[in-house]
Amino acid sequence: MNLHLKVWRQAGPDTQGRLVDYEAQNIHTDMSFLEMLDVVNEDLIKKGEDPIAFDSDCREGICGTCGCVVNGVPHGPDRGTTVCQLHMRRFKDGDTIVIEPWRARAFPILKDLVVDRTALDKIISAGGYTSINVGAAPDGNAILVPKEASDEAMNFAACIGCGACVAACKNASAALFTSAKVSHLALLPQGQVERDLRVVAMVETMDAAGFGACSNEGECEAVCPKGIKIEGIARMNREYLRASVVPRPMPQGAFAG
Amino acid sequence: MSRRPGFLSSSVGTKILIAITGLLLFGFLIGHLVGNLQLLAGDGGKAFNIYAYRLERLHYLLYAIELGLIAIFLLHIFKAVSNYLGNQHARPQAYAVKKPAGHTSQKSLASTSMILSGLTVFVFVVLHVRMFKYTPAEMLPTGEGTEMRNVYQLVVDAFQNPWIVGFYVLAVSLLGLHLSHGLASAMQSLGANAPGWTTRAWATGRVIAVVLAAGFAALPLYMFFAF
Amino acid sequence: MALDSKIPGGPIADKWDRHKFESKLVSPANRRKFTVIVVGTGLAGGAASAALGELGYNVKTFCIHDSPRRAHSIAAQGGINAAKNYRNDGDSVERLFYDTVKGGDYRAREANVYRLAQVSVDIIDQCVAQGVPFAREYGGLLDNRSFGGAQVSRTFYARGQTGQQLLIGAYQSMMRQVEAGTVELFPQREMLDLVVIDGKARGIITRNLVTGEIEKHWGDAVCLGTGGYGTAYYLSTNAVNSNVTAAWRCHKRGAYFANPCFTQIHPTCIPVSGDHQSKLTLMSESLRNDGRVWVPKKHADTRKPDQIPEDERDYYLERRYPSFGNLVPRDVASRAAKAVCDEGRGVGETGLAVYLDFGDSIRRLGEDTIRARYGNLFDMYEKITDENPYKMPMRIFPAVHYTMGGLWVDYNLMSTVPGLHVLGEANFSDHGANRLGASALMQGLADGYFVLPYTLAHYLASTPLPKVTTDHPAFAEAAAGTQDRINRILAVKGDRTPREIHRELGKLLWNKVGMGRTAEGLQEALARIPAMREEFWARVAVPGDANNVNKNLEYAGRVADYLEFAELLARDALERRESCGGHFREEFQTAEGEAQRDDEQFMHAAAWEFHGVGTTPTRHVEPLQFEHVKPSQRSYK
Ligand SMILES: Cc1cc2nc3c(=O)[nH]c(=O)nc-3n(C[C@H](O)[C@H](O)[C@H](O)COP(=O)(O)OP(=O)(O)OC[C@H]3O[C@@H](n4cnc5c(N)ncnc54)[C@H](O)[C@@H]3O)c2cc1C
Ligand code: FES
Repeated sequence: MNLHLKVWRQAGPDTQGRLVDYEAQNIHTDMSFLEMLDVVNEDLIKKGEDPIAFDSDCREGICGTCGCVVNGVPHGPDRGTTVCQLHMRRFKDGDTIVIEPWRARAFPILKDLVVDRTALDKIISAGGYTSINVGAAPDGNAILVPKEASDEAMNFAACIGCGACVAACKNASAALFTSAKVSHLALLPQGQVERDLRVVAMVETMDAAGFGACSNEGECEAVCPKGIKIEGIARMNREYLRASVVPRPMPQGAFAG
Repeated sequence: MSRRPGFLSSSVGTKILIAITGLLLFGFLIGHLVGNLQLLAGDGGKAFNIYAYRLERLHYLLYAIELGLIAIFLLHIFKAVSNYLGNQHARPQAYAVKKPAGHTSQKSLASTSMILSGLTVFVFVVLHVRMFKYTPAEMLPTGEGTEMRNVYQLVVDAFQNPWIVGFYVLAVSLLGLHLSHGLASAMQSLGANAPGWTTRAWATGRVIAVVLAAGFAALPLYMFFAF
Repeated sequence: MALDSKIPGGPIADKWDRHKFESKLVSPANRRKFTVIVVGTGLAGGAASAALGELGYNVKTFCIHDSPRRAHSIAAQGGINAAKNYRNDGDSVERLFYDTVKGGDYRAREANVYRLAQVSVDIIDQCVAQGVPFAREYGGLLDNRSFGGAQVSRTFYARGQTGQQLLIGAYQSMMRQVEAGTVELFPQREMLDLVVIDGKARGIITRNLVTGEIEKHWGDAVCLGTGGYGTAYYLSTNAVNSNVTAAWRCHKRGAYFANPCFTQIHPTCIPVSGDHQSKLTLMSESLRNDGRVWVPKKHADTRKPDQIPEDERDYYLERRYPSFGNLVPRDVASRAAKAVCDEGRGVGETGLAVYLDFGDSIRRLGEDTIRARYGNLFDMYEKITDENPYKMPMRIFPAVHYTMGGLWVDYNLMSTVPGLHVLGEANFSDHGANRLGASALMQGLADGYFVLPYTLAHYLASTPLPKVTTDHPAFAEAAAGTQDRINRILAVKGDRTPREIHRELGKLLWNKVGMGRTAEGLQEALARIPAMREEFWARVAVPGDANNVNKNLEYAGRVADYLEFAELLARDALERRESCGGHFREEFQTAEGEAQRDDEQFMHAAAWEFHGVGTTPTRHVEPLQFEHVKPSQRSYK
């Protein structure tokens, strides 16, 4: 099949970008969306033109590297799917497809569809861990963890950090991403000791990175390739409230900075 | 009580504050509606006028309550507006094409127009207070040797004007719209949401919003058609 | 140079403890005076960065991704082994050791494998404490499953996303050190050269993949955890940015490359659908627990699978290997699939696939049970192929998956370049000629968390390391060489894309250096690779500049390295005149078509020394001794 593409081209972080028209020809329905872009790029390279820059790595929906907005929806029309797992059989011959990068102040565009998502790493480094040094751990079965808690923690830990939640949110909020880590650790006994410090530090870092606030619309959950639920955001809010009002000593810890 | 005095200034804190003030205003609305339903008592406005009179007799307590309400209202508006402006900042360049994601999303007309519906309600409230609280009314004996305002008549008279009725119905519809996202959203902001509850919370919020708006809309419509 | 594996003396069970005791230490106050470069943030590099940072070293960590959390380890599905014996089913350090040595077809170093089995138990504890949500039983204990035909249940898992969860655990620990200031992170950097000063690894040259800048970084030691070279074959289950570049450039600077011909072909992948395909997707090995593999008995049978009656199906694994059946090791299962397809009994449009049928299990256990066990894999299969595996058998075919070969390292994980340590899939050490399922994650984390912190300290404490800066001429020389190579690629301005050339190389390797290798085919590959290399340098097309994001330029550089490396791969396969593990030479097989080892001549690791592109490298050998696990013909009958 043949498709008309309108792809965002932007040479660098500080240059003006625009949508450019391309024709994608002889596209096979078994191709993935990125393989379709590969085909377009092969043509561009042969013509001596700069190919469309986009990021990808695993191409099986787990690394979170890929991501672009396809016809107005991050990762495209399929539910629970990254754009590398989106297949061209989803489209019809002659369709027009508009392809844009994630757009958010916190995610500056580096080139074309490639954005800088370091802000998400900053949120994790603010507190998304347990402070445990190698060698100091007790036996894995020393602390029992209810299966339900572990399963629910896994639901949140499944986040791949792709940033689609930010891209979908009208406020470019990273609440779903942040809450996924807060929830993952808050649900496990191992995460209890630092839960107050963690949520506060992560929320503050999220704000400082330039993400907007959550408006509870849930667009994020709808586009999340891993189906992370906005109940996680409720949990983050709860954790935050608890950390802020329940009277207990608030030590100045590693998270405090 | 807080061990982190500034906690309400973060994005999450802001939402918590908007939620708390919003829910307080919602509480007021319920009280207001229950009181106003006395307009339908069919006693020529007696019960309603006495209700209004009793409220006025609270004097300083009433002032305090009113001031509190104003403060809550303004705080709600101020936080929401500044939050809205801040959010505009988070995406400097808009998408050329952007569509609602569908699926589980709760995005709706209501959720996308919170600021507009909210500000319209604000304008309405100002006019509404002016119209009924600060308009001179005929004085009636209370039967206890004092006099009270015939607010009932004011209401009846006002709602003979189709423009006013139309404006009222529009405003309370917007209020309903605002609440249809706001109620569940407030619960979510306060962390009162658990796995499996999101859809139910939103549905419940919408039902309550519709009932409340219908209740408020019923009054002007009734007055317009009954008299 | 003779290869000294530095295996400590004493009984095998005490070697590691004794070695740790005898190793020199760096005192806490001195650690921050040492700068350690870690390249790669997969399980190996991520774990090493975290562990070294916690100890107080000054760590500089590099990766090609925009975030360290995206390393290829994230894709591992099945699980991680550990000799915990939580199941009371007879597992032990000895048994894991024994299984790994045997599974590796007696081409791994016993002492390394023993150590791996020993520290495996600590890995699980560490990960649990980090909050890795391993699967649990209702009683709250950790769950285990049997994986890849192991006869004990020693595999720990987190749904079908074990690699992801372990990597996120390591990443989080590392990010904690970033916050603490001990680890400095350099994402979007590709290591393009190793800087060797006075015979020691003292720094690296990187390209900033955003600005294109060529950067110099110095350190007191360099630790490489840059993963395997499976993408040499173009199509593999590896992530598309996986590369041999870092390891290869170290090889060119003097690090020997060991056993490159030991590549693992995984039997259960989704078959290739066309030339456009950019990568192959693995269907977890665990599927073979409940799926039965078959092909039609008739040649070129074009009937739909459900129209082929039971007695016209050949459940060839169950037939050939009655005791292990569908659970034979990967190399055996892959070769058996190739054999039936070579006979013309393959299925699907291309004839390059076999069925993996869940019909029986669904009838026996019910669709819900199968869904609970494999739901996410079935969904993934359906997404890619548009076929419902609950109704129709899956079609699967082997694909390149893992590389046992890698830079040669001694017991201390140090390469032949002093100071250059190599961890994880990038080294050659622990899996011999074939890796068992769920053992790569174990090795990566073992190397990073538990081995390197000790052996590196010993190196730093016992080696004179005069201060160097990036002003040293060696840095200028390496940076200029790197820049020159990039300029040369850009200057070709030819008419062939790097992808086309890579695809061609991949096809050649798959056909000649793939599942079945012959002297003739290998000779042919050796003749054709230099020609392809020439073609690359004459015709490659890389538009754009070097001073911004240029994915095609990055890719071209990697393909150029593969074109050099492929020759070594083929040569190693040619020189190893035996079949063992993942290396199957058709000339060397038993009467039943099984791999025929030649322990007399080839019970060794082959480590290659580089002398220049196109110049024949020198083959060094490290003889292997098997004192504890007596070599025998592997039998899964
Ligand atoms: C689909 C799949 C499933 C698997 N399932 C399992 C399983 O169930 N159990 C199991 O035990 N094993 C499994 N494996 C194998 C296992 O995942 C890998 O062997 C292991 O994760 C490798 O880890 P690593 O740290 O050595 O390297 P990687 O995770 O590959 O990390 C390499 C790192 O190096 C960086 N890098 C690479 N090149 C450069 C360069 N030139 N400059 C700078 N940085 C560079 C990358 O950015 C990355 O951070 C699986 C593998 C695949 C492909
Ligand atoms: S490329 Fe890894 S998720 Fe798409």
